[in-house]
Amino acid sequence: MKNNEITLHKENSPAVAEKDRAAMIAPAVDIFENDDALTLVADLPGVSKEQLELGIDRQVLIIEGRLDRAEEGALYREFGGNGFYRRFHLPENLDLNQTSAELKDGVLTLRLAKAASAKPRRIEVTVH
Amino acid sequence: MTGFDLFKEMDSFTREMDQVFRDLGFGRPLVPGSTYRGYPRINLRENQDAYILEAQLPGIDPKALEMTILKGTLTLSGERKAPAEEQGTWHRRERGYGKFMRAIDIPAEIDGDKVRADYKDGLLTVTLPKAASVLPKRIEIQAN
Repeated sequence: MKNNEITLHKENSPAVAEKDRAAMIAPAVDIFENDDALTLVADLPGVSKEQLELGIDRQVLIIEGRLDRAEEGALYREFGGNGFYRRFHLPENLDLNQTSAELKDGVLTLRLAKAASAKPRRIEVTVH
Repeated sequence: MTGFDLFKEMDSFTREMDQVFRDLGFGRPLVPGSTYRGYPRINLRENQDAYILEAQLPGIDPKALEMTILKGTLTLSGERKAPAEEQGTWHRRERGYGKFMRAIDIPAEIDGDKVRADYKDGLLTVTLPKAASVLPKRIEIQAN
């Protein structure tokens, strides 16, 4: 194992008394790490920019996509209209000021840059 | 990491035919909630003049989607491309990739020429107007 590998913890257990969120679905995500950043990609079909709420609070990343969908006349359903909600515990060695997010065609791409101290450094060996 | 190959999972659903719509109208109760039958996930609803099909297709180029209607069966196919592999580590890979195909039986006759499809925010909405032959007709009663 590399020393500077960032590990993502499992998301916190869902908080109680959040009935609204109990009906929401955890979106499927990909999380990719390279030397510079962690990239999180989440599927949020049907969520527009206005409905997306992204937050980082005390190292907890919250992704919330609210949906308000017409459900009348439903004949057959494989997905609900309650939206998406998921939380992740972030590692400490990120530079959160450099976070960037993009939402396109219902796919959220979140780039979390690593702090300079967490990036691997190459040490030159001088041969005398 | 989980040893679960999503690509395979998507592929195994490809030729599955949806029985659900055939069951409609035979008095079988619809199970509330969701029944996952394949990729993409779909919802079907109905209003007075049309059936409305919604499919969750995040991150797909709508131009690469193939949609055909033949004898009351709507076929939807396409591909979600996997992102380019870079140097690094995957911590999670839950989003599926690969080719998909779904065939959906529409419960009543539709007007194939007037079908409209919109793609927005990763959601495909197909409006299938009912054929004039299945729309209710009001019969005037003559009072003598």
